[in-house]
Amino acid sequence: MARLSPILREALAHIFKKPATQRYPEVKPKVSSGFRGKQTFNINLCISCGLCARDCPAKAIEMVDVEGKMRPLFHLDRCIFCYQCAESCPRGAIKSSEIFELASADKSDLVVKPKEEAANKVG
Amino acid sequence: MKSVGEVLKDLSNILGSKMLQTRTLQPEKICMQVQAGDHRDAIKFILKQDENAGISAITGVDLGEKIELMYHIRTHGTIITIGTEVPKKNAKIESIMDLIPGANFHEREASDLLGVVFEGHLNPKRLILPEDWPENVFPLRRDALITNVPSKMGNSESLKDVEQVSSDERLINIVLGPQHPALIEPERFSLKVDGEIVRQVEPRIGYVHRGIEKATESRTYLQDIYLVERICGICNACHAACFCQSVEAIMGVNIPPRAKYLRTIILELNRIHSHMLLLGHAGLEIGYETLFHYMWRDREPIMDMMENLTGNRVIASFITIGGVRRDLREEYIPVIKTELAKLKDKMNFYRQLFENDLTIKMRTADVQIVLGAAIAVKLFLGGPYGPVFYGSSAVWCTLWFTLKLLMVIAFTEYLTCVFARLRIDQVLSVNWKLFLPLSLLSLAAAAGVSLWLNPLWR
Repeated sequence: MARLSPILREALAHIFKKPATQRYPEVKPKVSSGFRGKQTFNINLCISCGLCARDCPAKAIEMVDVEGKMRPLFHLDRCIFCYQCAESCPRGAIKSSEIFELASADKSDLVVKPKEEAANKVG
Repeated sequence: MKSVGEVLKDLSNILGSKMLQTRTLQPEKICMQVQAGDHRDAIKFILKQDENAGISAITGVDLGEKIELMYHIRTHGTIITIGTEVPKKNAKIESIMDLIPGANFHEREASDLLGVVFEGHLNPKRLILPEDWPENVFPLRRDALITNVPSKMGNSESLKDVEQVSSDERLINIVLGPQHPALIEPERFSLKVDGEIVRQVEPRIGYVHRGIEKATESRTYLQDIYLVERICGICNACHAACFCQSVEAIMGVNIPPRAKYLRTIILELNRIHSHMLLLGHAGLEIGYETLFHYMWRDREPIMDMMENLTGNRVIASFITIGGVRRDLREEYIPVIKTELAKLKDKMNFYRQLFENDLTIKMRTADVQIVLGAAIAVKLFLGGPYGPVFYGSSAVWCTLWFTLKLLMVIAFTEYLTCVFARLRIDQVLSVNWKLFLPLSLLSLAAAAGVSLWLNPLWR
């Protein structure tokens, strides 16, 4: 009647096993391919159509003037990472990345500017 | 038992020309249109056929000049929707609360949000809108100017209407919430209690009403998918699927079979992880943290599958209008299969655990009675010592203790079965009117006796 609980066996066996948790800050987890992380934007493919900004459910994309053309600027503090923008883009200029560590004390860090991305591409 | 088609046929015979239109959307979804007022005849007839028929919801649409109300009646696994229209200027309709008492809340919701007056409703109070919301602003009407509504004006009226004793002397009114340590989310329950027995309860919800219906009106269909997904994060795919199916039904679009399978996969993954979350949480609530941790550890592979399939652990954003947004990668299919096979074994283990585990039994059935009885035995009944063999071996002590424990448990169980527990006001009146004077008297008597016995005062 008062048999030992089967979970006791599970708990005892676990002493000799590898922990189920990950040592997160030291060991970075590998996210799956196709993970919806921080956006990357390729300005060379952009045709300034503004579909991404129109379809964004969180209104996180702002069209800004870059050298005379309207380009999307991503406010990641508002972004819900649904990637509707990437789907709406007719040229595939918006891609997801595997960057997920986006916590910041400053909102201005959480802006993906179209110009900087272009500079990075050139550099 | 009649089939729904037959019920509908009889219904059209009975209502005759009152029935304006019927449509069958799906085998288990039927819509019909009647004049305002005739909806009661239709509901009466359905109730006569199936006394267990209930109401799922009353929904309304603002059509401009008119407001369309839809009564969704659930009968034999089918939803019969009875639609009727009322003029917007003088939006009045007879209540169906006397036919289906459960319609109480649905009618109050419709009257809050659409401004329809339900004549004959027994308790036409607010349910969703705050008490200080303006009288003539109905948020789900298209012409409602909700931006003009002033923000919160201090204490709400709802907190003032607390009456401690109801008109019936026997019942005491206890108000629980909106803020209460036992409640995770704000709700208010007005309980009418007779001792320990709750005779009536009147819930007041709506403290966290987010107005998602209104918000979806001002967004595009595409944006709405991501909004409705956030109604609940745990079961997010269900809401997206529901919304997309509705839009597809309006468009008359059939989605490809592969998309249907993929939708089923994501909905099933959602279901599995949500059930495991709940079972683990049940363990946490009874203080069984080991169970909680193992259950949530075993839930992790499902979350990984969700991430692999959709790109995110929690909010899937997988289902879209016309199908799904991603395809399942072929090389991932064997991983899902092996993980699910492993999980199946684990779920059998948990099933055994929930059925047989001693800890779960102790903490869910006859809660705390063993501990309480043990304390009573130790304090009042001499603990583990018996009348004979006093201070003898551990075997005798254990025996005596178990015997006394069982006696106390049996006695308590017997008392709870035979007598109703005292009401709190009875306990209080005994306390103040009897025990307090008695204890003061006994104090005075003790003082008198000790003074009288004191040789100095002789």
